[in-house]
Amino acid sequence: MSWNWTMADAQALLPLMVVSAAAVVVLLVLACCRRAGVAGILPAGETPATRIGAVLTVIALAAALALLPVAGAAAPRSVTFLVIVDGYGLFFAGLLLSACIAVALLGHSYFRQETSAGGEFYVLLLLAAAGAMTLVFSRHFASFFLGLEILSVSLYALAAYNRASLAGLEAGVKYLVLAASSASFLLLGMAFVYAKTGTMDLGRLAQLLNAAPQPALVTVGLLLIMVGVGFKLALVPFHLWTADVYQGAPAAVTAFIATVSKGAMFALLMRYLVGVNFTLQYPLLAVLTAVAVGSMFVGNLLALRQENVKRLLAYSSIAQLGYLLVTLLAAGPGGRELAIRAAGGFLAAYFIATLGAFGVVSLLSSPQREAESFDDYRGLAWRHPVLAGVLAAMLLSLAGIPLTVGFIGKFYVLAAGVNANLAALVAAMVINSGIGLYYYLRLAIALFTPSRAEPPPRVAIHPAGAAVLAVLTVLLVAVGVYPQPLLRLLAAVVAL
Amino acid sequence: MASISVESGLILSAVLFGLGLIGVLARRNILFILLSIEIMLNAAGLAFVVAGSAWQDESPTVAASAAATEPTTSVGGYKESTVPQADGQVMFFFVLTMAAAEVSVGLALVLRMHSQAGSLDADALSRMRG
Amino acid sequence: MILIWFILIPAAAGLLAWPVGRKSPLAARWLCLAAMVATLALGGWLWAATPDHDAAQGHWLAQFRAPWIPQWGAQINLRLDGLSLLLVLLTGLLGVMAVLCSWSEIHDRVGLFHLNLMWMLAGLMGVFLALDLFLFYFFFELMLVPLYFLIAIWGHEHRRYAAVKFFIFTQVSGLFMLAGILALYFIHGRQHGGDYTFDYVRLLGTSMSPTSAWLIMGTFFLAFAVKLPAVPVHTWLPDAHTEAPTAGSVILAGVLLKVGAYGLLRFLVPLFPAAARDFAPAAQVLGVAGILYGAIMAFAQRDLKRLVAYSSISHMGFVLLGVFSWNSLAMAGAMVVILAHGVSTGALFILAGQVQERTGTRDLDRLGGLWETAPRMGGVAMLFALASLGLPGLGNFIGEFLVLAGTFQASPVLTVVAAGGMVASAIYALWLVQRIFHGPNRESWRLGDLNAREGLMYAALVAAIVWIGLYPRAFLDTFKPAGQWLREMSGTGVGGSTGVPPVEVRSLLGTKPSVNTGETPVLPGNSEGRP
Repeated sequence: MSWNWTMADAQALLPLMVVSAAAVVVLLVLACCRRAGVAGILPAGETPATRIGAVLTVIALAAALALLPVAGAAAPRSVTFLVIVDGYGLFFAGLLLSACIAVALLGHSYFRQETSAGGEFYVLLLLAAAGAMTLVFSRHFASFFLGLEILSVSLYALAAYNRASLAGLEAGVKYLVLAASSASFLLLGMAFVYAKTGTMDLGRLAQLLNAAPQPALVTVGLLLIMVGVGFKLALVPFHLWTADVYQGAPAAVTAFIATVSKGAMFALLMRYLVGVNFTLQYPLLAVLTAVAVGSMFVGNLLALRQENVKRLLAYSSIAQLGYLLVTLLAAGPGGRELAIRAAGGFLAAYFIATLGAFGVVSLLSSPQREAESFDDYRGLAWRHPVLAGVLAAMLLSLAGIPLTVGFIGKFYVLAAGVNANLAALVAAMVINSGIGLYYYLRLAIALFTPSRAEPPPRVAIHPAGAAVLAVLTVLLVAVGVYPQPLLRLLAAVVAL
Repeated sequence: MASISVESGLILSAVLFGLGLIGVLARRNILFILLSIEIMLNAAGLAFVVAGSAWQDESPTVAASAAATEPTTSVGGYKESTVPQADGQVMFFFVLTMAAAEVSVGLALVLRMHSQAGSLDADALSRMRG
Repeated sequence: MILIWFILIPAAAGLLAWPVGRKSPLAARWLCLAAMVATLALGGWLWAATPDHDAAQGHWLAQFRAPWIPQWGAQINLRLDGLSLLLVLLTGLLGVMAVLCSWSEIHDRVGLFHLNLMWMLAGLMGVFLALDLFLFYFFFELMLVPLYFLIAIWGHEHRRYAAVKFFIFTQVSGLFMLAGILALYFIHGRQHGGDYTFDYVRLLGTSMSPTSAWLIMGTFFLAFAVKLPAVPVHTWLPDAHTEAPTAGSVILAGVLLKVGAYGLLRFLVPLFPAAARDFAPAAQVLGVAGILYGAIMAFAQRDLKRLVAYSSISHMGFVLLGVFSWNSLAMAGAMVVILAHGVSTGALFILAGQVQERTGTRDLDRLGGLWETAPRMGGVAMLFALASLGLPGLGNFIGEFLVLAGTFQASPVLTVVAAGGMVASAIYALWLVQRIFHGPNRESWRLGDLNAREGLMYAALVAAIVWIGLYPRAFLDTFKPAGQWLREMSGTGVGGSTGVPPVEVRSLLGTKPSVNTGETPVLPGNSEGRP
């Protein structure tokens, strides 16, 4: 076994290394700052520390983002047997890094007055980002598992980040218990698959699945792995944690869970399942179809009567992931390219709209008070006309209305589904879009109706968060009207 | 050593896993829940060890046949080999490490739970509904 | 290039009206009025400048192309023929009316209201001009959002319910059509070696198996039937009409319903001629069912706007019947019904809005005797009620008569039943006027009569309906080349479907025998004796 480390390997891994190193650096800097604060060199209090943490984090994430093309010059390249850096991975890494920047800025706005918040938020965020990127680049059970766990463990701490909040604690504990259990399902499944096939290489495994029907032990193992994956993606029936964690976690963290954590996991799933010949793996096909349809219906129906905005968005994200699964099932022999691009396009649209929606929630919230009930949003059009407009646009995008990027995403997925002749899934998606409209519009119209209760206090909008929302809104409309750049990127980059 | 078959080992780990799962579902005390999660993780770890021992001194047949049908992938200077592997054991170490990380964060949350909710009963944390 | 302005002018005016309206509502109103008048004038100019229709240069009058999403084969492809032109004119006219009738009705968030109104009109213009199926769908969906907000924010008592119901009905049916469009797109692309395109003209004549043709046509029909609306997917309409602000009702009834008719004429029949042909009898029955159902339901209403809404269902049944009767006579009739119903129903909704604005109620049981204090309003109401019931000399009569005449060739039985609907419409229309303007003035209403602005609006609408009624040739001439082309596309040629010689519209209407067919004009009444 020979392994020669070359410059090309370093080049390919550069973005991942920057993010990982930044986590360590920010941790050390924070410790030093705190020391310096105690020793009287820096002004007392933790505000400077958090600000330095925020700036360093954003710089590191932006640097990693800027380095993606550099890494792309060396792609496609397998670095050891654990990690593969290719166009597909780089596209999703770019998506994840952009989302992380948005979350970092939103988090900075969210914790503005909190003096006890510290800067650990950014360390955890960077670690989670590194985990997510590892997932996207992984090609082996070991890197899959490591990436997943780095992401999850950071998220336990992030979900419970508000020290004063009991709801945050509940979210953290629930997430911990369920994520750890689902991770052990995943591990057991991996062990079963390995015991039978003798390989932990994901690409090899996909080949085997494509070659012949597999013995029961492998199928059981794969289904156990799907438990772990389904949990991370919050698919039915592993969705029970979603609403509670979304509600209890700080809004910025919720945005992270809804986008980065799911996006990374889906990218991995897509990478290896897209080649699988489902006619040979009938149990897998049946389970995935049932999960997709179930997620659409359960997510949408549970969202219908929600009076809590964060829970509503949580259920809506369950349904959105159900739509996304259609692309996975549509990746037949003739529709492979289209399905991968559709997934990329849909995820990009979902990221923009979800970050935007949670961004508005986050800007209206503070560690003391989460703006989550419908009453916080009634009449928002008078208190914060621009924020209300942005939230309405984001909701319309989630509903897939033209002029927004959500339409492009939904159109892409529908196209993939129709191309693969998945009539039943397409019909389910159309019906669910109708159900989804009901609650998106309910919230959108609540923004324009006078509030019945005492209106919540008007909060000051932090410029960092406002900037994030401005960028997201511009993207939402620009890509919605002229999607060509996004499509070109998808065509150029996203191939497997 | 050779007297224990792979199947028996996997069954043992599955049984252990089931016990852990029952513990997670049935226990209300958060410490016991964490304990049960440890059992599940270690059951999976055991399964890896068993699977690893099955492949440790023979080249995996399936992998070998797959490798025979197509040229050995050689990307980035790494040659995939089908020589005896210790992957299962290596995975077990990963599992151990991650389990430790899980538990350390878990215990931190338990401490907060004790001071904030004043109880270690998981039912104390079920205020969110809907 | 000119076509893009039909969309840009209203859209830009709407965007401007929003900030302007926060400073000065009146300025926003004038701005939007000017924009709509300009759009209408643009349409009128195009109409007047239309070259001789019988020229062999094709029936497209203007077009505009720009690349948009080449990767998907979608482009900004706007084309105008007689069919589109008439609908654009109707949209322009009713757009002006919608701005005018909101003048004194809307006082709340005037800028935002006009933004929504203008964007809806821009979307409608886009629908009538787009000949790229992707672009068409884009506008088709886009126009719903502003209308949703119009109803949900400025509507009446149950606005939230009505708005959501309307939106979900139209959106879900629209998405089914999108799936159908995509299926067509892929079938065409695979047949033509990867020529994936949404271009309508290129998609014409895509051959497909009867089953897929039926399925895809079904999705199109669903979308357009909901818009039209045809029984039994009409239930959103009375609610939406009743709850919408006047401008919303006017556009909804006057233009938006016509999108369904336009879609049937433009897309469904030419794209799937064989399947549509097989489906025609069922569609005719649905049309007649709509005519009768709408008329009967109109009797039972106590709410003024609801009554007019049900009468719309009845009238749109004639359109459905006309489109699927499969001959040029009925098709021309459907076109005239589209125009005349747009004008007359628009006027009735404006009237209903004014009655409500002045009395605060739409309840027919509480209204009565308004003629004493508002005779001019009563006179206008009488005129449009008469138009609605099909009085000769007014537009609706021509349209409905042509539809019935055309249908008679296809199915005499259905014609007789549908004619029964016309009789019923006479009853409810007169009854409407009688209950509002005559009868005892139970609640002693004293209303201000029409003011100058309102008078002007009605003057324009009356002129339009009389014009259509007395000189339909102006409109039929514009429509004819487009209609002929559509019928050629549907593979039937002129009048070929029922095996009867073609009936020349112009000759029937007593104008000079036409140049193009040279066949004997035959009155539809004589058609029974034909082989």
